[in-house]
Parts: sequence; structure tokens; C-alpha cells
Amino acid sequence: MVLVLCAVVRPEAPAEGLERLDRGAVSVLYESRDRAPRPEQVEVLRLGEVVQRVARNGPVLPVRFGTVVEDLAALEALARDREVGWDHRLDVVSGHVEMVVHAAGPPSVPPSSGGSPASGRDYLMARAAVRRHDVELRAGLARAVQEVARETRELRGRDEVRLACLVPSGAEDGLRRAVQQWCDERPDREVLVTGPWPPFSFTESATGSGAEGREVLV
Amino acid sequence: MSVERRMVGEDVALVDLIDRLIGGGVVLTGDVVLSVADVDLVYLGLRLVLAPAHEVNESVRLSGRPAAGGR
Repeated sequence: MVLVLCAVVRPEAPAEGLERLDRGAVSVLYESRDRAPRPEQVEVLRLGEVVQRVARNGPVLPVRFGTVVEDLAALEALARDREVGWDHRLDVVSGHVEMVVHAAGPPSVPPSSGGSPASGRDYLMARAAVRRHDVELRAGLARAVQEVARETRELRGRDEVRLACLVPSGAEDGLRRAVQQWCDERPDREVLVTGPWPPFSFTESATGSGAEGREVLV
Repeated sequence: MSVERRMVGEDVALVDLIDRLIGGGVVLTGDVVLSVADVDLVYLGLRLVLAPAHEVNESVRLSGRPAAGGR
């Protein structure tokens, strides 16, 4: 038997069929299962549904998929160590949702001229140009959402810029408008906004550059 | 291209959801944590997720509508 951790919530929040461990101002929701969840999409989406259900009842800090502890004593030790930080982050995300903005400009890698392979120098120059373009795109997008988003996190993506935005519930359309306006300024930009999601990217305070996340291999 | 005109919203939303479940969230480290699933396997499986996207779109709807670009 293991404890599969799902989310951190306030003690007054409904457990939504999960078990719970209360520790001061926070409560950890978990499931007792025979074994750790298998790393399969159905298991990941199942956690997603659980977290979404929990998020309807109040602030939530989702726990990363696949996080398992041995027993209640281990969980109590965790909650004791992390209670203060979780309490603070629950305050921050309370009343907020996460939106993810995807932005891309012209093709990331310019095609080589004449159909023949570019020289090494040309290739490096093109890569440098792409890098500069990505930096400008990222900075522009961050400026575009700063009036709406309480916090942002840069997420890694392939051939695009991805920015997670923590916005007040009800301000989703405001974010979309801000992104659309920014997009309209340059017709070669492409943008897409997904969400609202629970605050997956905002369970920790921002550190360093704020870069976070994994590259999506699709 | 505008936010509304993009037609791949549901696929992207699904990837975002899975990506955040795996790559986001509270991270626990220390001896008391037994394991964190081998998420690389899930990422490899994403290619398979997106191929039959119509079969899993219901999961996306359950988790919240794509904010833009969705149909």
C-alpha cells in the first residue's frame, strides 16, 4: 500500500472522495493504492480530473503526477516541513486560475536559399537570429499580459514561446484580449491560449529567471 | 493568425494539461518520497495521445474548455 498524493488544499475544503491529512492551515489530499500509478496517459488524465474537481471548491496546489509516499508518518513529516510554504502559495493562488499562452512568429528556422544546404556559418547566423527573435517574442508577450497576470512562468516548448499566466478568476477574457491585441500588432504572429487550469505552474514562488517546465516532445 | 482562427485548440489544450500535470505541481524531494513516476514514458506516449485526439477530447472537456482556438 502506498499513498498517492493529489493536491494541497485548505482544511475546510471538501475531500472529493479522497483521503486527507490536515496539518495546521493546509490539508493534503491523497489516495491509498496498492502501487504507484503507472506512467500512462490514462493515469495522468485521471489525476487531472481529480485536481480539476478539487479546484472547484477553493484554492489548490496540485501535486506533480506520480508523487508517492510510503505511509501516513511519511506524509505527516512532509506536511510538517512544507506547511508554511504551502500556506503562502495557497494564499497567492486563491481566486486565480492558470492560462497558458502559446506564441510563435515567423518560421523558427529560415529555409536555406536555393535549395542547397546552407554553410555552417549561415546556419549559425540563422540560429542566432532565431534566438534573438524568441527573446523578443518572449519579452513582448510578457509585457502584453503584465496588466492582467499576477505572476507568469516561462515554460519550455518546441518552436514556440509558452508562458503560464496566473490570472484572477473571471479575468480569462481580459487575458485573451490582451494577447489578441498584441497579436494584432504583428500579423506574422500566431497565438493560442489554453485554460483555465488549476495553478499547476504556480505551486512554488518564482526563483531565478522563473523558467520552469519541460519540453513537450510532440 | 488570430486566437480564434487557430483550429488545433483542443489538441494543444490536451498537451498543456498533460504537460502541466507532469511538469508542474508541487514537487517533493527527500527520503520520505517513495517514487515519482517515470514521466518520460508519458511524454513518449503523447504522440499516441494526439493521433486519436477525438477519443480523449472528452477528458479535455472535463478539465475545462480550451480557452481559445477551440471549437
